[in-house]
Amino acid sequence: MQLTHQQIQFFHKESYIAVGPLVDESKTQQLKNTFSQLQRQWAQEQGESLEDYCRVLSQWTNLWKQHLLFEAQIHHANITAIARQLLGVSEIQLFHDHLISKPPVHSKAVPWHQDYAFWPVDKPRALSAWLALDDVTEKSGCLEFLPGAHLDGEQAPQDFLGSDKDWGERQTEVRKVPVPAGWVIFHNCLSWHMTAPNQTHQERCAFICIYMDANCHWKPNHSEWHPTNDQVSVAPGECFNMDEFPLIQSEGIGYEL
Amino acid sequence: MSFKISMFSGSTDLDEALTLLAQTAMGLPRDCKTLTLEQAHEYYCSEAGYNQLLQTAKRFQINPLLKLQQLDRLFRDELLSRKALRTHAARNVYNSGKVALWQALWTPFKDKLLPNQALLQAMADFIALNTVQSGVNWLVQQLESMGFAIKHLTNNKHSPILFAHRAAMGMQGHVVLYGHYDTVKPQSERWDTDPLQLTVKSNRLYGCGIGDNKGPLAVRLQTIANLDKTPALTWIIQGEEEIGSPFAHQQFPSLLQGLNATLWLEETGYQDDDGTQRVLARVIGNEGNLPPDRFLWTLIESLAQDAALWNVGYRVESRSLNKDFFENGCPFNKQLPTGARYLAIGINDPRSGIHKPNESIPAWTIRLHQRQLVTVFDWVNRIAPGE
Repeated sequence: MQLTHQQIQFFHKESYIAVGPLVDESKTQQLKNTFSQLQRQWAQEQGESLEDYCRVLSQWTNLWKQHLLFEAQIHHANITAIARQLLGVSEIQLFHDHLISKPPVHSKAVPWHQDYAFWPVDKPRALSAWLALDDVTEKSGCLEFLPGAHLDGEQAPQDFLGSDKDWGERQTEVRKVPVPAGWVIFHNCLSWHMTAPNQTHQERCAFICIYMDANCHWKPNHSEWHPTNDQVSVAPGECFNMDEFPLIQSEGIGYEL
Repeated sequence: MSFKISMFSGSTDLDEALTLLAQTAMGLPRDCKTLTLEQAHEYYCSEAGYNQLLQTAKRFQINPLLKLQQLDRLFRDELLSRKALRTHAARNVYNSGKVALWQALWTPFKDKLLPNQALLQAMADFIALNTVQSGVNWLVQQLESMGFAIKHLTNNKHSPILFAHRAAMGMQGHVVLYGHYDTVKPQSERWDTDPLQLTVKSNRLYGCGIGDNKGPLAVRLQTIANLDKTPALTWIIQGEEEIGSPFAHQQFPSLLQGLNATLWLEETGYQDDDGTQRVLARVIGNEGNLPPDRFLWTLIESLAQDAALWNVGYRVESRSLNKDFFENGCPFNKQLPTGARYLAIGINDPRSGIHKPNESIPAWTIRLHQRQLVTVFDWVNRIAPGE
C-alpha cells in the first residue's frame, strides 16, 4: 500500500495521520476475542476474578509474544508498509507493542505528552501505529493532537501524575481524531498527544505497534525507566536485539491463521 | 528533588514511604531494609498492624483513615498490578493503583514525617555553596531576615565567626546555639552522587555537610524562622571546625564566659541505628561533667514524649558530643561556663558518615528535631523565670 505524497506531507507537518480502514471488522473482532481469552487465562493464573483483573489492569505490552494472531498483526503488510514510508526507511524494527483498554466510566485522562521522552532509544526515528479495535469517539477518549508541535523537538518527559501542560492560545489548534474500528492513526514519536477519560459504558481498546528505524540504538540513559529494558541483551549504543525487538519483513511473513 | 511519587512502575518510592510509616507506626527498626509490598501488606492489613496505624494517626491528629477492608483492597490491587507486570508485562496504566495507595495511606502522614519542600530547598541551597564567603553570605541573609543582629568576628587570617543575637520574642530565657558552616573538602570521585547537590534516596538525604553541620543548621534556621515565640537566642557559628578551630579557640574564652544562658545547645545530636534517641545532657561543674540537674531532667522527659510520637525510645548520656578530631578538642565544649546546662540532640545517625564520602542523614529525624526545638524553647520559657 502506498500513501500519497500529500498524505506523507500531512504526517510530517501535523505529526499524525489517520488511515483506514486497514484492518477489516472480522479481524478486529478476532483480535478482541483473542485478547479476551488471554485476559481470562491471565486472571486465572493470578488467582483473580476476571472482574477484578479487568478493573485493575489496563495495559498489556508485547502481546506479539503471547499469541500468534498478535504476532501476525505486528507484521501487517499495509500497516508496516505505511510505517516505512512515513519513516522514510526500508528496514523497521518493532520497539514494542501494547494494547490499552481504556475502561468505561472510571478511566482517567492521559495528559499531554511526547512518547519519545520515555524511551531508551537514541534518536526520535520512530512512530506509533494506533489501531482502533473499537469505534473510538470523542466521548470514549479519542486521541488528541497539537498539530506541528513536534517540530519544536523533544521536551522534558511529562509527569503523568502531575502534568499541567497548558497550550494557552494554541489550545484552539488542538485536533480530536475519532476513528472507526479498523482504522490506524500513525503518529510521530515526538507528537504531542493526549486522551480524555472514557465517558461511555463500553471499553475502548487500541492495539498499538511502535516501529522504529532499524538503525536506532539502545540508549538506556535517555529515559528513567522502561519495561522493555529487561529484554535488551545488547550493549548501550548497539542496535536492539532482534529476538525481542523483531525486524519487520518488507512483505509481511505470510502467517496462516 | 523531593519526596514525590514517581509515575514509573519500576520506582520504589511507595515501598520506601510505606517502610518509613511502618517504622513510625509499628516500631520496626529504623535500619530495617525497605519492605516489599507483600510485607507491607502483611503489616498494615493485620489486625494488630492496622490498630497501630490508627493509634499513630491519632497521635499525629490525622483522621479519618481508610477502613481495613478498603486498605486491603488497595494493597491487593497494587500487588496484582506488580505481579502482572512481572509475569506477562501488564500493568495499571500510569500507576493509578500505586497512586491510590500512596494517597490513601501515605499522603496523610507525609508532612508529619518528612521535611517540607522549603526546608529541602534551603538545605540544597546551603550545600551547593562551597566557598567560605558564599556560606557566610547565605547564613547572614537567613539570620538577618529572622531579625538577628550579627557581629562578624574576623581578621585577615581566619574565616569569620558569626555571633548572632535576637532578643526574646514572647518567651522568657536565653538559649545559646552552636554550629559551624565549614565542611571537609569532598572527594567527589568517591561519592556516588554529586556532593554539592542535595540528593534524596531511600529515605535519606545525601550531600557534603548534610550531617556536619549544614543540615542541622538549615533545619534549625527554618524551624526558628517559622516560630512566633522564642526565648532570646544567641547563635555562634564558626567556620574553621574542620581544621581544628584555631580562631574559635582564640575567641571563645571571652565570648562564652560573658553569656548567661538557660541552655546551651550543641551543633547536632544522634539517634542509634534502631532509632533510639541519644540525648547528651549534662551540667558543667567546677571539675568536669555533672549529671543533668532536676530541671534538665524535666526537659529530657518532655523530649522523650516527643520521641515516643515517632515510636522511638531514648537514652541519656552525661557527656559532650564526641568530636575530638583535633588535639585541642571542641572550643565550644571547652569554654562552657560553670553551671551551664548542655544539650545535644539532632538529626544524625551512625550511618551519617561524617567527613566521609556519601555523608547522609535519615529523613525521619528532621521533623522530630523540629518538634523538639519547640519543646526546648517551651521548657526554657517555663524554667527561666524561677532561676
